[in-house]
Amino acid sequence: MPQDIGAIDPAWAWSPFEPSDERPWARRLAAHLCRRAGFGATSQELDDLIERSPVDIARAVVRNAKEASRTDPENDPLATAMLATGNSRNLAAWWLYRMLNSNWEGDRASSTSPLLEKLTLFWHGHFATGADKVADAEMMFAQNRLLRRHALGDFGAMTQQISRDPAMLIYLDSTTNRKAHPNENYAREIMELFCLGEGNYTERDIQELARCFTGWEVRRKKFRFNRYQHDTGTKTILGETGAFSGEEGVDVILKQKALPRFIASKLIRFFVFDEPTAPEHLIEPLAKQLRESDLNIAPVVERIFASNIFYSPLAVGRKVRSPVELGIGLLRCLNGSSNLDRVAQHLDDIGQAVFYPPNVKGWDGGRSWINTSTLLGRSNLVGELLRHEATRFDGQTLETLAKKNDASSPEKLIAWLDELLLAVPLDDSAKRELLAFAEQTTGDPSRRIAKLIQTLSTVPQFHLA
Amino acid sequence: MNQPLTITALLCGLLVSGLTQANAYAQRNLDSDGRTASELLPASCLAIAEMPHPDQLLETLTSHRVWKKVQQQPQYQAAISNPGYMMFLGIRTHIETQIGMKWRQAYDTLLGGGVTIAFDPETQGVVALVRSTDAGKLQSTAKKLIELGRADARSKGKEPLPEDEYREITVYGKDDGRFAIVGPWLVMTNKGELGRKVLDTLLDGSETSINDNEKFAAARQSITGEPAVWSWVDLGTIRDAGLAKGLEKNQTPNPLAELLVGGVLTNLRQTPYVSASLYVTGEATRLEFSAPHDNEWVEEFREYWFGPDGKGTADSPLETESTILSVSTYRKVSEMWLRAGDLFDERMNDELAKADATLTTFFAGKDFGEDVLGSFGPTMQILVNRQDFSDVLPKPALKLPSIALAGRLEKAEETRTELRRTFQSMVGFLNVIGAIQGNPQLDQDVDIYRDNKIYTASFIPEPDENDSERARIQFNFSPSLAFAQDRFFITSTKQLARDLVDAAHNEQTTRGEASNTAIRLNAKALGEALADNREQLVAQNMIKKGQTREESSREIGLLLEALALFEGLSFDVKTTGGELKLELSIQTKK
Repeated sequence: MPQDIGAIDPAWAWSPFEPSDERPWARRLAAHLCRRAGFGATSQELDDLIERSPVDIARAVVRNAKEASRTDPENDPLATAMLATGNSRNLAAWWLYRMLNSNWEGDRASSTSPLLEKLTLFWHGHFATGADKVADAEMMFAQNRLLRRHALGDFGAMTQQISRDPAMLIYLDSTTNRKAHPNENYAREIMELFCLGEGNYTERDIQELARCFTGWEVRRKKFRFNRYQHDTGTKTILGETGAFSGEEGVDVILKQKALPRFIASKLIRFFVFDEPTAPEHLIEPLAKQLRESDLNIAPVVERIFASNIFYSPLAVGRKVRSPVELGIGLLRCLNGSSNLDRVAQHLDDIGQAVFYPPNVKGWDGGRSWINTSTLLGRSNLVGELLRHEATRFDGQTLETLAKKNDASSPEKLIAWLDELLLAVPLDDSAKRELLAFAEQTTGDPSRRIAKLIQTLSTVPQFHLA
Repeated sequence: MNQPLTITALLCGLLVSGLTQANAYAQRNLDSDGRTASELLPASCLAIAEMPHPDQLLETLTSHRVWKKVQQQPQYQAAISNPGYMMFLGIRTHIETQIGMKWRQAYDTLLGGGVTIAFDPETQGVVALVRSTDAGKLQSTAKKLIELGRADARSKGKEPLPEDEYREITVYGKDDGRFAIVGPWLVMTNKGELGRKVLDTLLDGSETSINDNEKFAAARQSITGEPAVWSWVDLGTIRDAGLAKGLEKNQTPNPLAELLVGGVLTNLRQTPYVSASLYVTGEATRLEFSAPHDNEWVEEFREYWFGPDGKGTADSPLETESTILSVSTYRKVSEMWLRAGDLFDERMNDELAKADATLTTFFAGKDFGEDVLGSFGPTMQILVNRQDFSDVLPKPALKLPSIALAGRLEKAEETRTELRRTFQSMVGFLNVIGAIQGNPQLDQDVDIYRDNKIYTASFIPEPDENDSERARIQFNFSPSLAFAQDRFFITSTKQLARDLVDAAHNEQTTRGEASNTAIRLNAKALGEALADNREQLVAQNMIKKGQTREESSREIGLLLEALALFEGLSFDVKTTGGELKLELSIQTKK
């Protein structure tokens, strides 16, 4: 198995993963899939997953990741209730509730798929829009639904729709775009951040594309095309010339060869490894697949989750857990529930307030999640989740959960938590220290387990995904 | 006998669990002791609490339908199924077998003669006197329990309960916890000196007791009915001893606290004593605080609270069937505003000065304290009403109650014009703000209702919002201003303005009480308002408590069911018959 990403064979990398004695398909690798494709899984869910092959699982996970077309009796009324307050801050708790209560089976009427929520979070960071500037919960909610609806679908359709999305246009100061003064903000971001990346366009292309968007306005929280303010003249964008409308301008962008590479590279960084930047030869097979599937996201994501590289040491434990992955992941793995309003506030404190990305570039991710301030905050988040009066595990306590998982002795408890919560196994020395700690701790069994988990959260591996 | 042990019964069991037989001499002479507990307490006692019939109180509580409803709740059932409670039941059964009585019988017998607790400042001690209805049962029960306790202590390697003698009476315990049985009396104290005083009185009698305290006697005389618990505190002596420093301050921390309790503070700075009575029946629980009051005590700066000669009373509250909460008061707010320098600290006075400048500007240069507030009469009422959206569209997703401020105008003709103009300016201001923020606009109108003008402002829905049942929060409001005779109503909705005009015209919808402050909470209307927002409450529980929809729905259902057991709550402040009275009453459904 190659150890250097630069020297890796792309054919091997993206080929379906075949478990071996060296890389057996067991709880730990299934947990890796669940951490990346969602927010983790309980021991029972992992046991169910390892009954099937990694390729089958990848297919099922992607297939189940569809927004329910029917009424969702659990989530729809919750969203309505949160929107009734008119406060975007409340939406964060609603989304965390969805993430936490998503399930891998995808056959229950009242829940959503972890992958669907994870990808919606990915696109939220990609097409970053901040509720502080939009200042309207309904619009933020509508954008969130748009992202979820297209999360695994046609990237082109998503880009066309996001280009007319009122929340996006407000965020990028594009509520009024007159032909006399074309607003270049959206034109710049769609090329630089959303579709092509730096170096694949010129300032002239931005100016010409901005002319296409003239007449695009937001009035009364809805998109409106003002034909009197649209520049109907001929534009030349990225070598193509015509009297392009806004939609046609976006189509020109969507046809660029750089686009599939740009999107594939972001998908690799989000799902496979933070560092180093994926080399071109590793990106190209996925970019090619994106092109050939008319920018359909689902096949590429499925390929990633079934691939050799995804299950290799080049990917496992090679990402830093985002705050959402840390907080929701801990609850999700321990079948927990808690006060999600508080969780949302904590996530904000440590750098990831959903619906409030820091800027139009979204969250940087990777090592930027960790600094001296957030490290303490992450530990506090774990501590509060474990101790909060509203927190329950498996509907009861950590003690009952541990018993249910046959983790009754300190050794078994550490082994269970190691496999469930850590991407990279603890070494013997760390295990010994934890064991000594567990044996010294006295008092209520649930509190003892909570203390052990909080101590585990100080181990570097705990922050890797 | 499977009913759970109440706290009182548990206390009784614990208290008696260390007792033994008193000496025969004392028992022979005191078995038929007819003295009351207060006759046994030293005259120096400054505070006392009496529960004359604990057995009756427990019976009332355990037979109450609220308690029976509580017993049906899953949380209660879960609580009595837990291992800790089961172990407790086992211990209780063991004790019951040993003493030959079920716990309820033991409770009724051992405490049936009443429980009295008093504080004596001379010894810094607290004494509890428990009177049994059967001295023999008290003796035998105590003996058994002490034997059990000592055997248990020995088995655990602990020191058994020590005992001593005082004038041939066996006293148990040491240091800060001693007790003795004399005839039907169980005497417990945390100070030996106080215990000796009480035992001396029991054996020899005493020329003086707390009954000789004039303040105590006066308070006793003012008791009405038969309170389940009665207590008294000699506030004058406590104040003179410098033990009530908090009462020495003139100032309250903020205007709301001052409006609510400023007058009570004035009374507590002067009154010789305070007493409290708790009345419990199947229909209501009433807590009444009472203190002597003299209008001469009222400082000039608090006259706004009590009114001329201390006779200021609130208007009869205007209410409708949908009224959730009503707060009706007598407060001359203009005087309070102008006397802020005497009532509040520097920081608050700075804040009020800023507010005064802003409000004076808003009211077209009229002095806010003198002219604006001065034009209002001293009686004010705040109402919170449930809104009925059954025939209304658009219907807001979050259904808020409506709110109103009702009062009277000193110079009705003049002030109406000013109020109307200010209301219209306010609506215009809100429209400008709303336009900037993309919120719906308010449309002003005048409604003639029962020959009264109601100035209204209603939000205009977007074309696609007309039939919405999940409309924005703004559609809870249609700010209105109404007048009826010398009354004015500033309301959050047009409907509430109409309802108040109706109420003002219809004497039958009001009920009058001569209270300085009258607060009414209607449980039915509150329950309906909560039920209107049931989905919102369920969602909040799901988010805040991490519950599933099913769990949350069940919990909210239980809350609404519990609320349905109550009629409401009332709170009154009255200054009548030389007393300041605070009455809190919780009414349950029959």
